[in-house]
Amino acid sequence: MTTLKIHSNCRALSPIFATLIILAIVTVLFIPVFVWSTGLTAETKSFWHISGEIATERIVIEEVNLRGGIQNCTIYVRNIGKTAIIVDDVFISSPDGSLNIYEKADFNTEPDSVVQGDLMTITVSDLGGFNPVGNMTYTVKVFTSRGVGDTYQVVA
Amino acid sequence: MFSILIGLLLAFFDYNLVVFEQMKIEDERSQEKIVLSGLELDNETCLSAVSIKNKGTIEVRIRAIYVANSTTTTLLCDPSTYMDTHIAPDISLNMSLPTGISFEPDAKIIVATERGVKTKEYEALLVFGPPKPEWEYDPTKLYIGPLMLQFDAFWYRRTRGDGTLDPNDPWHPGWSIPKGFGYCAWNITIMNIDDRNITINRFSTFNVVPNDSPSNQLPWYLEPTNQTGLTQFLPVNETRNIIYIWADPKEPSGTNRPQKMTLPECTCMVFLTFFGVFHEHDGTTTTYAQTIPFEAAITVVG
Repeated sequence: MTTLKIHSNCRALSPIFATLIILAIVTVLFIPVFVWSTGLTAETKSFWHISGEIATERIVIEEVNLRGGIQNCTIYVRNIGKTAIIVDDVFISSPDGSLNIYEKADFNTEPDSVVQGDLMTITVSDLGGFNPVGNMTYTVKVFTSRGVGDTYQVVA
Repeated sequence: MFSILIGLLLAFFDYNLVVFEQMKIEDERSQEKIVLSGLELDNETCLSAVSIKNKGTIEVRIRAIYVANSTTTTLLCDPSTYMDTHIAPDISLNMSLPTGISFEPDAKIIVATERGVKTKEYEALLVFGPPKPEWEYDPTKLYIGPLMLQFDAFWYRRTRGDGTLDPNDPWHPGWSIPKGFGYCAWNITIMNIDDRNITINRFSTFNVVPNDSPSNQLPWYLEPTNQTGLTQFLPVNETRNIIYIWADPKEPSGTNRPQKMTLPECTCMVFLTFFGVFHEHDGTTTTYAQTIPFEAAITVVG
């Protein structure tokens, strides 16, 4: 009959190796947590940053040159916020509810971007099929690249 | 982990900071108010300068001047590029304009600040001022017709039985007269504001009508300055006194008796009636008649 005898003073791994192995396992397990948490942090920081920019982006339409029978329009926009702005869209709505949309390619801005306190001149040189009628009231809306806008009513 | 938390907190505080900054901008903007106070012309055809007053509670900076007429809206200039356009509260600033801008009474001048606050006004209103009302109420100059009465120049005085003025009695302010005063004369001040001379005749009267018993009215007839024609000449744009003494229209024979104040204590209305002729510019005369009601009543006191 064979007897299994355990030698109590013999060890499979040294304490150093055991510690290293534990460290390695912990490190390997922590990598996805680290990746997730840093991504989350970056996204959160980015969210706060963009929210801050939007909160401080503010424009005012000072004047609009839109007259009946004239196929162009000039809009004067002032940046009164902390964030530099770029105008992306211009909407002109008629009294009958029809909406005319002009995207970046349809108008020129001078300058392209303005900082706080400066004036931007938007020139829509061709209103397309839209023909403003004299003495009618039109609503002009201007939106920046971040979706911040202002509204102005003008009598053509 | 600690650095991640620090980064998150910094981002959050940065957001709060910018939101606070924007709230500050909005707060400052709400305190801005500017008004256009004047417009100067260089030779009555071109604009030369515009005056702006800061009526708000915060300093402003003017950044744009526009002109809008019936055909176009144009950006004239940004005056901050050639002068200091900061305006402290309750201070006015005169800003020169580029040369060659025509004066158009119906056009609007629009001025904008750096924070986007605007003011606008018609050029004509800035140059000539607001239109004055056609008729300004002045209770001392109530009139409908060519003769204007000065209500603050109105007196009475004692007369003798023959109608002559009592040299011992001065003229008294006419708004109240003692009860039982006896024979008296009334003196009013009028001005001919027509463009034609007027001659009034002896039938012109000063009528005192008691409020409580209008039928007891008393007329005083004109004492003519021209004793030959029994008339009084009132030249254009000149102030004249008219005296009423008689109980009946003055007769050429001079047999009239003066009117006597016999009313009891009461309040009376007064009507002035004038009859005569206009002297037209071509030398002819046309009939003239006018009634002037007094703005206030005279009182017979005890």
